[in-house]
Amino acid sequence: MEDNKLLKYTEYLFTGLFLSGVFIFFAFFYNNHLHFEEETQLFLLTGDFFKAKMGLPGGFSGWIGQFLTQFYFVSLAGPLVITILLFLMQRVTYRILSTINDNRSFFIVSFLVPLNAMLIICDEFYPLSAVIGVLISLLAGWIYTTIAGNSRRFVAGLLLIALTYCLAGGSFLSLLAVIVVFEILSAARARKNRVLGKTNDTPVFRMLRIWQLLIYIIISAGIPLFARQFLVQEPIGLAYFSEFYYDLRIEVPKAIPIMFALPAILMIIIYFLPSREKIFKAAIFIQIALFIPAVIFGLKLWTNFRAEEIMKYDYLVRMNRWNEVIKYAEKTPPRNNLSLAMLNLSLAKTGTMGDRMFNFRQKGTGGLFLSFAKEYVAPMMGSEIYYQLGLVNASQEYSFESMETTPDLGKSVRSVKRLAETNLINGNYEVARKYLKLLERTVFYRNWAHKTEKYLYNEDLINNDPEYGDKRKMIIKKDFFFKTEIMEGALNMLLQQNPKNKMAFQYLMGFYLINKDLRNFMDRVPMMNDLGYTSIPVGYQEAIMYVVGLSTDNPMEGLPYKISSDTKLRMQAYASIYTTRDNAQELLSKEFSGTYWYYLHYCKVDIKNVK
Amino acid sequence: MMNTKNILLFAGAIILASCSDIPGHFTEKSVSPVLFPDIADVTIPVNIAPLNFRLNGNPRKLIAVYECEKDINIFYGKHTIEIPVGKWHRMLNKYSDKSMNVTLFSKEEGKWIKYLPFKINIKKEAIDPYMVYRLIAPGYESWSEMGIYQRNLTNFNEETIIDNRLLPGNCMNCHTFNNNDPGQMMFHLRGNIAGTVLVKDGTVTKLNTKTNETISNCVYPYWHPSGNYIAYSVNAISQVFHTTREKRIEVMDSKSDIVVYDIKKNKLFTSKLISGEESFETFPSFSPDGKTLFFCSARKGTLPDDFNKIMYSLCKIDFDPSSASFGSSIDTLISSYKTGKSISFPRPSHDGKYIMFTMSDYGNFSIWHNEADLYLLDLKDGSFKRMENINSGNAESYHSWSSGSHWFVFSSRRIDGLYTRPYFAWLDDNGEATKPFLLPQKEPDFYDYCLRSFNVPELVTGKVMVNGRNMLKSIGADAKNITFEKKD
Repeated sequence: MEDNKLLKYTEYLFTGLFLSGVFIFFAFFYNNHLHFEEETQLFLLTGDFFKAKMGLPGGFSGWIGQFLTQFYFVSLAGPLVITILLFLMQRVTYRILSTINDNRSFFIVSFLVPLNAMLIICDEFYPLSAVIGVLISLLAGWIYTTIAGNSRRFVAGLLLIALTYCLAGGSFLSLLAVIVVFEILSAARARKNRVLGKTNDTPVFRMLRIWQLLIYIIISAGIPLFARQFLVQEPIGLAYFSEFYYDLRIEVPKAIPIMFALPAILMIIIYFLPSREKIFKAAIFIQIALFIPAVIFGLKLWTNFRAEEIMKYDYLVRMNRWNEVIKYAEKTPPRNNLSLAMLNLSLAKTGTMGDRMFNFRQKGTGGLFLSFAKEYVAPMMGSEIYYQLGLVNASQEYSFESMETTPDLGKSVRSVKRLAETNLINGNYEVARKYLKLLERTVFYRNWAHKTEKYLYNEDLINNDPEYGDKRKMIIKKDFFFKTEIMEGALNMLLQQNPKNKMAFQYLMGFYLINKDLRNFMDRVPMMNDLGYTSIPVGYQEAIMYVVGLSTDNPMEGLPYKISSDTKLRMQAYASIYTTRDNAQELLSKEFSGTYWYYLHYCKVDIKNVK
Repeated sequence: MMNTKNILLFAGAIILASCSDIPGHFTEKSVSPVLFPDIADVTIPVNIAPLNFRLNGNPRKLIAVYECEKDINIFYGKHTIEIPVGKWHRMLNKYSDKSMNVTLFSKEEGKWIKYLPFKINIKKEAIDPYMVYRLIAPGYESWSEMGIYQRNLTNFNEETIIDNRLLPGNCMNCHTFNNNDPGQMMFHLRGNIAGTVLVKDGTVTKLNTKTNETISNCVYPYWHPSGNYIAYSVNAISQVFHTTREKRIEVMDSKSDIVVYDIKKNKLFTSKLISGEESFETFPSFSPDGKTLFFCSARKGTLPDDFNKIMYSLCKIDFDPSSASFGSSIDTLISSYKTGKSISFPRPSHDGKYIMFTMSDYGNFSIWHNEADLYLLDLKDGSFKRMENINSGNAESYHSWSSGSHWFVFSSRRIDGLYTRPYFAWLDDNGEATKPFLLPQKEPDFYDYCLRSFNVPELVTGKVMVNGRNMLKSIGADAKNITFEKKD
């Protein structure tokens, strides 16, 4: 009795800890992955969207998965959704395993299925529909194992296999495995019981089960072929595994068959464990002792915190939380050009690019502009940069390309929103209306779409809007062909057409400084007059001081700006170390690594040819 | 003064009021209903699918009264009128070569409103019952879900011929048919299983159309009516992206020639007259008798600098199918020097009377040119005119004739300026086109949510029986190399 109580509390505690851990992990350590998943899908609450999904094997789990994924928009809703799904998964797995071995001491085994599901969705290419699909097959498996009559169970098995393929796609294979293993283990148990004289099971009875299994297997092999022949043209592998478990359609990763096989494997394992009505305390401790390293190993294998960092930068930029990007960069400096480009954009948006750019490790112009790549991450982030610069068409192009390269052949709500904006700014109102109409069919973008619809054909409203009006002022009037390789020319063109485009100015100066092109940099310094600068940004001061040190003329002559005494003093300190000490780089790196001088002397980057 | 029709309508309304929930009272509005798609006063073939539509605004209930002679057919809806296919076809068959008067009653803010009636004119001549097209997002360099599909024009059934669900990462384009025959088809595949897929006499062959002597793989195709040849352009195509809001994309050829593929001999051949260094030749098409090859030609320019100075004229050269040889000179039918514009997609009607073509300010990729319009060249007297009833303020581009040479389909971006949609119209014996109508869809809101363009709409006389699945073995096989010969 005492043992039972202990086991019950252990079950509650373990379940609570597992679910809390899942929630905390996704809410506070991996939340940006969820935001990323949300923005790269477009879930429409329309009958057509539902019908289109249901026309595909596994479309129901795809639809439910996308329906739930849209709630990732709210930071804590996503973790809650995942936690609930994993809880359901564990409960159903537990029920299935109980039909094989009802010794509750081994309850922790049932957590391996939700743990596996949790780990898999740490990879952004595994959608939530994979969890839904497995959950549906587990539910089907549970129903199957609870049906007592052999013939009734056989008919139900056939129906459940077909239904699971229809609703959940590839996880029907998981159901098949559960059914086959259940039948074999049941037969084995029956034989054992017959040997022990507990039943009078006959050989005919056992033969019938083998035929049943063969029929199950034949039906399971045939259903996807039938669907491929009459419903949807797709590669043979995808016909079996369906497209809602992994976004990249060109391959079926090994993790998917493993995920499908796991419930059946656990059934076999638990069959061989003691089934007596005895609580094995040691077994519980051993399971916990094995489970914890499994979690750690799994997280190491499946999580990608580098990607999480990039996604955080991206998310903050998407939400226009520029200061938070800079704060985050102070704690977690950008490790690649994607993050760096988002940081530089945030610096420019807060008007501090000239002051602070070299406080962070710059890695060439690739950290300013993101070149076009045929994938969906860099173009979406690149679109943000060009949008803020006033290169509306380039932003539109990048956003469209990002949408078209979304791996699951779907659309991206973030891209659609941006396309609505770029078309609105460009005055292509009917195209903008089309995108807004789509967004009106979503849960979280509906209000924004309704609000933005009022801008259509309303020139005054657009021109007076702080964001769209600003972009309208920056709009390019004299055409040129855009590509990232000609960014210097594009920025000069932007400034030529609108000398008040401070974003373009900061980027152009940043471009020259990164390229160590001080001649062009100095030529543009007088432009600060038109841009309302009251003082010279620190980074520019540092560059100017360097030029002053090399020149006999005073390049600041005639300009209303002064180099601050602080910069002059720092320059003297820097120069004295630089010119006198053998280990100058080591010494300077401590105090001067955030200066332009240090960048100029010690940072090796690919210099772009400046025309 | 009430005319007979109004009396009939009134009588109809009384009958309606007595047998349905329609009130006997309504306010007559002296305006035409704003419908999507716009089906008011269009001319349709007897076999077309129901022209379902919605009334823009906020109607609560709709009643559409279709009336022809003494018959009245009534359909109900909330904000759309969706007519059952069988009932629609019974109506069209009964009223072929006549007009239906359509009166729309709409319940708005609790009151019934009657709009001005409009007509739907029905032509007895059927349109080819199938249309094959490519669905792809109007993007830049990448594509998501795309493929070649066929639509039964008599109902709403759409089937996939081949798409990138079956062939992930691949692209398929330039599907074309010989004389609208669904059994003689070709299309290109680009990607890891690239090649030109030729379907003829029940066999599927994949060809590698790149030879050492030609600029590129074969690109824009046109079948010779004998079925023994296919004319192609070979083009060095590039694209650039505009920065001003008026334009998005510029697609241009920096080189192009015309070649002809001899299917029996598995050989490409050309003449120096249509593959010269100093000019760009593209968009070939054969006359219905097979003795003339039409094409577009422009003086060579430096690209991309001269992108808006390259203008294509419409030209022709004799072709002898028995000897597979070309004439000794080129005739210019419409000169870009005279028009100051550029021609693309010359498509002769099957009866040999006309060539329909697209004309834009410059270049040849007219779908990205808002100013691109359709024109008609009368081959008898050499005159040509802008097709006034057909064109809009947005791009009209690709077009294909139905077998009877009266019906034709063309692509237009008139709805929103970006997403290409297929429209149909009738060309009468005087060369005048009727008001076009949009490809009907079961749900009129379909186009609002469709994020793909309908590219290269081609009319065919029946269902295409091959599809990606049953062509998979041939598609997956190595492409058959072809040879090349240049003739003087």
